[in-house]
Amino acid sequence: MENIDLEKIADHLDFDLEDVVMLIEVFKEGAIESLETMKKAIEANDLDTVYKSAHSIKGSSANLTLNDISNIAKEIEQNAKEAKEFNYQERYNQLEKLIRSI
Amino acid sequence: MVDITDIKILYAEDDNSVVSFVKVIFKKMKLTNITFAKNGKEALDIYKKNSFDIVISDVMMPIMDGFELIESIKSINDDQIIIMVTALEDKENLIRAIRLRVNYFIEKPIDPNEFQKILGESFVSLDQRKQLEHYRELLKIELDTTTKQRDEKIHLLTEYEKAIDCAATFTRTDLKGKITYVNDTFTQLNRFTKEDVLGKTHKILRDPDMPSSVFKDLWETIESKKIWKGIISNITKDKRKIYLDTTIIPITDIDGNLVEYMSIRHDITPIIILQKEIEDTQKEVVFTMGAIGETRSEETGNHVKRVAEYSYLLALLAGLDEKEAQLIKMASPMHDIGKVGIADHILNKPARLTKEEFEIMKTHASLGYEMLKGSHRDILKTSAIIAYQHHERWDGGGYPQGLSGDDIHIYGRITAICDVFDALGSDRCYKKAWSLEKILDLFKVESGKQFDPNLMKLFLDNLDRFLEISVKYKDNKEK
Repeated sequence: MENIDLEKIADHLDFDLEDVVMLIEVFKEGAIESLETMKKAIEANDLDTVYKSAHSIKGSSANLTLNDISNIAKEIEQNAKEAKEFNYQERYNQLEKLIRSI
Repeated sequence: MVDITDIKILYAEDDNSVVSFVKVIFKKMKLTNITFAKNGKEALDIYKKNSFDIVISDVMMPIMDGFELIESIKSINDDQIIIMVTALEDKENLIRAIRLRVNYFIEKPIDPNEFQKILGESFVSLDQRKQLEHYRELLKIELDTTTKQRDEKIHLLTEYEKAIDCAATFTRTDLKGKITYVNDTFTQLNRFTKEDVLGKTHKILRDPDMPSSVFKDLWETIESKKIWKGIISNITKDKRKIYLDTTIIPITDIDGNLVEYMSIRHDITPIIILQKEIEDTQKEVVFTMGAIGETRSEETGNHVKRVAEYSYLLALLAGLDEKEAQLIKMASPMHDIGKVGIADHILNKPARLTKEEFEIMKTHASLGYEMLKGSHRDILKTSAIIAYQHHERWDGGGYPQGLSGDDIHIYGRITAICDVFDALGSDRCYKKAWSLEKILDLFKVESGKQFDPNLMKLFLDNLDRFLEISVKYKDNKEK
């Protein structure tokens, strides 16, 4: 987790560092699951599922103030919710890269 | 304040990551009694089997979302405290939540400090509710107790009312005397229906023989909040006279102000009738006994009547009270009862008696006394005195004892005047009736000699009233 400032997050949330580490791990585990669901849904053009998985990633990342991730997830979520023409794949790739880099 | 560790929370959240996140916050708050559910349906199933102080719910969940969950919970328990975790920018959701009367909102993304603050607020309200519930419980116990006591008292009152109802006539009137209630005993006794008397006064029952002074005293008594007792006679609807032993109780409210009057009456008509019967019989017996003496001596029956009335009047003039005057009136007819023991030839001798005959005649006073003295009855005791002393003289020259002045009982002194007044004014076997003038001349001469001068003065001063009696009870000459 070299690319994440754990102490800053812990400080911001007023959590213990070890709790933050645990939460990030739980987040990553869940997020990767959601990414897989989202990937299949984008391929199948199932925007409702895209929306739901993006919503999930957005919510949990936002809580942890992982703003880069939550911003992209939010962008996907909103477009999918309104079923807009949008380059979902590109955003997905960015999102996956960020999550996996944790 | 409620103990935080005791607070039971149900938390509906599908996202594992969010669950972990809030668990860290709960751990910091030292809250341990948290039940998590992965969706609305699971939360509802748990909720139905358990009670929770606070329910926290996410909005978007698979299988029953937050709104459906909250709606179902509110339909089970309208008072359930609910916190919704939602993105406040979603206006539509917010309005729905407010309509469902969600109590608190936690904004997404979750700020741990804000989360704690809002949870803290919900605890305060929970605490207030629990206190309120506690007070409500206390109040209910208090209310139950007073209600029970009140019901008990009402029950007793009803029992008392029943007791009075069957024991006596029971009526209630307002302060002006208008009847507001009568019981069945009343209607049975008086024959008036409830409709006849309600709203009317007791005047409807008024016996014209009752002196109005009684009612004046009655009202003065009860208006000064005192209980009045007495015997009142009433006239029933079918015109019977009844006698009622009456108690009237002024009823006051809690501040002591008069509210109404209650009247309890016992029918004592049979007792009064019996008493009157006894009194009448007694009077009649005494009178008849007196008349026997008069008949034997062939004097007219009205002699005793007149002497009785004269004696009554003179007793009142002499200052004796009504009761004593009545006693003399009833007793005086027997003044000559001793004559039943005197032989006919002396008693009815149509000429002056010889000295020996007169001595025998004089014994009628002692004879009468001997006949009556053994009685304990007031009338007969009075008769004994009168029979014994009505021939005594003020100057001591009379018989049988030769008493003088105040030693002669006033009953004797009164009857002496009345008897002589009537005897002189009537025909007797041995003489013709004297004129009034001649009688008065004698009285003036004998005042202070034969007769008590004070009584004689009263007699002469009120002569008109005695003459009225003499006219009223005049002898029937044809007989």
